[in-house]
Amino acid sequence: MRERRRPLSLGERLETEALIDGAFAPLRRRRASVGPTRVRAAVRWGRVGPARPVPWAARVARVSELAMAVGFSVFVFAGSLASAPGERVPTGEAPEMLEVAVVDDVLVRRAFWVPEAPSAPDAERPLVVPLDDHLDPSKPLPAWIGAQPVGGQPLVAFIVR
Amino acid sequence: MTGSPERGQNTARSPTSDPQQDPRNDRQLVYSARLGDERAFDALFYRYRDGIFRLAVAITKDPRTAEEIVVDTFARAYRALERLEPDDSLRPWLYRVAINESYDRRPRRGYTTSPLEDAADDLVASEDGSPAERAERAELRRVVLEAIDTLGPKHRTVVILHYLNELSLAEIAVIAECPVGTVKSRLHYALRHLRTHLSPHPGLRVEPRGSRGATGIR
Repeated sequence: MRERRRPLSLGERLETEALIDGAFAPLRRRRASVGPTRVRAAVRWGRVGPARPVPWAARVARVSELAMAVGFSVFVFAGSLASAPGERVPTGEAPEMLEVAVVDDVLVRRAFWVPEAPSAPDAERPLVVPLDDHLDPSKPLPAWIGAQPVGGQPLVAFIVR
Repeated sequence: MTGSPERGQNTARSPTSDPQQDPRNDRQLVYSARLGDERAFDALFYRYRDGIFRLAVAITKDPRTAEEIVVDTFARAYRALERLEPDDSLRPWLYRVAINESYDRRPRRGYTTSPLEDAADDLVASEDGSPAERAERAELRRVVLEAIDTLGPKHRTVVILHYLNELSLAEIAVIAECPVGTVKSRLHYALRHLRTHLSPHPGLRVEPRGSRGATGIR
């Protein structure tokens, strides 16, 4: 350590400087082969500075961003396809028709209300449903034969004509 | 400058037709270049091109990268012409940009595209002496350059600017933006480090040159 702190003698200094001079001598004679035209081109094209390599972490980040973007796009696209049929959301203003079938020459309709809707009938009361008869719209539908709540589901009414 | 409409088409005549021989100082050349004098900018380019190139080769060890650094340094200078206010010399500003560019592109430790000693090989062949002597000198250079490479950036820069580019300590102080005393201290530390690093090498017996001052201060 003491040796490292000791100042160089004149001879040591000259010797070291001579070594450095000799090492740099070939390089000192070198000349660049570029001209100002290349500078003009660089200015015109706006490319100044090294083309830096993308670090590993940045690459991972870009791949993650890309994966997220693709996943989100697929999710949105699939969602748009799923909602395409446009299933109507029951409002409770009128019963929703679930199915229409003819059983033994009797037209059976099954409909339901959304229980929380203001116009939904009480499960205890008989149902009076102003449904249109889609087979013969000019005639009113006959009376209802009953209604029943179906285990937490909307109220279901069976219509028989 | 050609193709730069913002610079205008003013092409004031310089005192000489050869931009490499332009006698105007940097300040005059910068002011002329601002007015669109292409020859003035070319004169600045040729004045400092080789010095910046050697500095960049010494740091990056790659002549091709060094040429890119020369181009980028002058491209930056061109864009900064409006802001530059050189007192007498543009050199400190250019060298500072070149040093930063060079360290930005310096290959990481253990990865060298073209070692400095290889870059000088083509010149070694033109030297006097027998092939054995030339090989010995090349080996000596390699060892010294490797020792310089073990210095930190601040000390290595001072050594390169002082011994390769032959800048005075005062000029280096302007480039490094530090007092002259700090530059002296860095140079002294660098020489001592090199001496310690090189002393075990058996082939290092070189007679001191009388041309350079003992203190290295010019």
